[in-house]
Amino acid sequence: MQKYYKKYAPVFLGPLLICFVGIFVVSFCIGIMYSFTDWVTLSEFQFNGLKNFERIFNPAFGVNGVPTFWTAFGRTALFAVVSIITINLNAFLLALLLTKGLRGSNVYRSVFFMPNLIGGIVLGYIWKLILNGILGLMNTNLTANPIYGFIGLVILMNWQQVGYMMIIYIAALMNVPEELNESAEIDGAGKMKTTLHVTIPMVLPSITICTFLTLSNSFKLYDQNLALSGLNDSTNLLAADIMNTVAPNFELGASLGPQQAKSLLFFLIVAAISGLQVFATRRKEQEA
Amino acid sequence: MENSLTKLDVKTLIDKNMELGYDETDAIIVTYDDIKEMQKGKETPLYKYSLIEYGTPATVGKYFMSQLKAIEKEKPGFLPLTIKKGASKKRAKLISNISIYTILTIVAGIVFIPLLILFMNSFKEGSAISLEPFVFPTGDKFVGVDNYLDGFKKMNFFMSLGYSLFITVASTLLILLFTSMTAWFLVRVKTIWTQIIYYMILFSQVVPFQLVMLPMNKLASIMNINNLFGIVLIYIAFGAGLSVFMYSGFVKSVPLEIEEAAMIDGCNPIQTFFKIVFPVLKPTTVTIAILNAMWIWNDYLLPSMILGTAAGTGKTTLPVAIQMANTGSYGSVSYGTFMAMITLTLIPIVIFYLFGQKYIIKGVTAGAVKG
Repeated sequence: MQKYYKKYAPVFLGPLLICFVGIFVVSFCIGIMYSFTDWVTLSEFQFNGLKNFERIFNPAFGVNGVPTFWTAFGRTALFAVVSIITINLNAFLLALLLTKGLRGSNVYRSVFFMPNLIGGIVLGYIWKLILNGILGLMNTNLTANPIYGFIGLVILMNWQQVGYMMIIYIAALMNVPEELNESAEIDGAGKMKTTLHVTIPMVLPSITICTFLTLSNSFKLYDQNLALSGLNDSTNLLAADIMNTVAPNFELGASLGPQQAKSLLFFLIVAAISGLQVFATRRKEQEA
Repeated sequence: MENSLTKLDVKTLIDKNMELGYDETDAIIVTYDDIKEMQKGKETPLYKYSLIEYGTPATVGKYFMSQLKAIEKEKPGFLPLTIKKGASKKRAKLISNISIYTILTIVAGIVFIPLLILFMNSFKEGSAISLEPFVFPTGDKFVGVDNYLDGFKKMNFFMSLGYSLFITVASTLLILLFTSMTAWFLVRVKTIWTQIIYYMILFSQVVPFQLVMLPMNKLASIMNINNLFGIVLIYIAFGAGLSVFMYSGFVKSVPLEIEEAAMIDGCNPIQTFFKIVFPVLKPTTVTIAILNAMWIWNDYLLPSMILGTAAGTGKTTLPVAIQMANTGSYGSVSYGTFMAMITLTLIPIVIFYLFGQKYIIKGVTAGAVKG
């Protein structure tokens, strides 16, 4: 049958591959190659070795002698840690409450999930209004102190993501066999102990999934960051820092090489996170 | 097993059981039939109390409760009030339920309040919003639908809505069609080439948009695909990774036999795919459609690069239009108008969610766990 199918390869693979190779693969290869050039347009470029990368780590292009890429990286890492903890904790607690078999649980579940459908840009502006309103009561605003932008982003991401992670946890909690909890109770374990020693180990795979989802969401975050604080060296996360390299360059007609080089580093970071995730899930599966 | 316990009325029997139910001691169980006898008014001298020696207290307690519920259903008010209200366990549960509902309702409030504040402010005069955003619009600060009319006009809302709709629907449909075909072929035909293609497409999921964005933007203008129709092709390229991955996972579970049968009946592979395989893939198709539609509808960076320069004409998607309104591409937009614009862009999402929330939640869960 395979041989018979093979003749039809152009029909089945053709349409997707034309788009995929023609747009994605070509852009990807150009993107990597041009990280090492001083390109302005696709036809005008000269290789300049690692100069673009040197520029990224050159304190002259930073704030107070620290390259913006580093500060943005540190900020993103901190943001990732804070949001992994807060989002997962909130999501897990809500999931526990919603799996008690209470009437109306599904309605609450639908409500909590809703913010997830709202896109990053729109979401950012909604929260800008709210946060500025609250800060306004204290006679200040979001731009007054970068910490407000950071905390605001954590609140915003919690508002958006908790419902999503909650859904994953609910699915996992529903799969924990009733008998397990019962026998734990009979053995004299209280509610707290049952949750800690029976429920959590049972849903560990989904905790891994949610942790990595939050981690890679944090590193890729751009729209919300842009809408809430604008492109700004004191609040930019990694993705926004990359965009901030190019924004002025577009007007000046200067080289896009530095931004491309930053993106390459960004890609390596994101790829490392994905690799770690595959490794972690594989190991979990083997243990199980 | 007969028991030496003395006569007990139902109330004490129940109380006794509540005491014993979750204890280490054996539980007393009273059967439905016994109670029925009592209901008939027969003064049965000794009910058959059995000592359950097997089974955990919890299961015995459960059985006992189910018996009591059956009685209550048959003859409301027959059982003493203690079982319905007085039982301390039940009261504790009621209190805990009330506190759970309170927490859930507060969280629901946290979800809704930002949206309500947005909605309220969309009827306010611009300068009043930044001064007192949490105050209800009154007097001359209430501008009715003026903000909305202004927003419609400045943003060219219906044009942008049309762009968003067209791009989302066309891209999603083509992604479904192309990636299902590709995934099926890649699973069924195992050669070194199909393997390379599969892993190449899979790999694209890891690549952040920023890395390919600049070359892609330049390529798009060279190839003349930086327009309404061209952007659909770009979305197909970027949507391939997740969709092929999810489809191929599902295709593996489709039995080969039905395809062979179709082949014997004279179907060529194209007919086999569209008549036999594609309908079987339906659950996955719904999931993939939802994931792609949500991504494309809300996407900002890609359309802002490809279509972004068309300020004022509305020839761009809604997220881009919102961002452009904020940065002043439409001339001066009052804060009130801006709030109205944001509210307008939320309406299609809310409608979409109201009608499809069951599928959306299911789809997203499946996507998260598999992706």
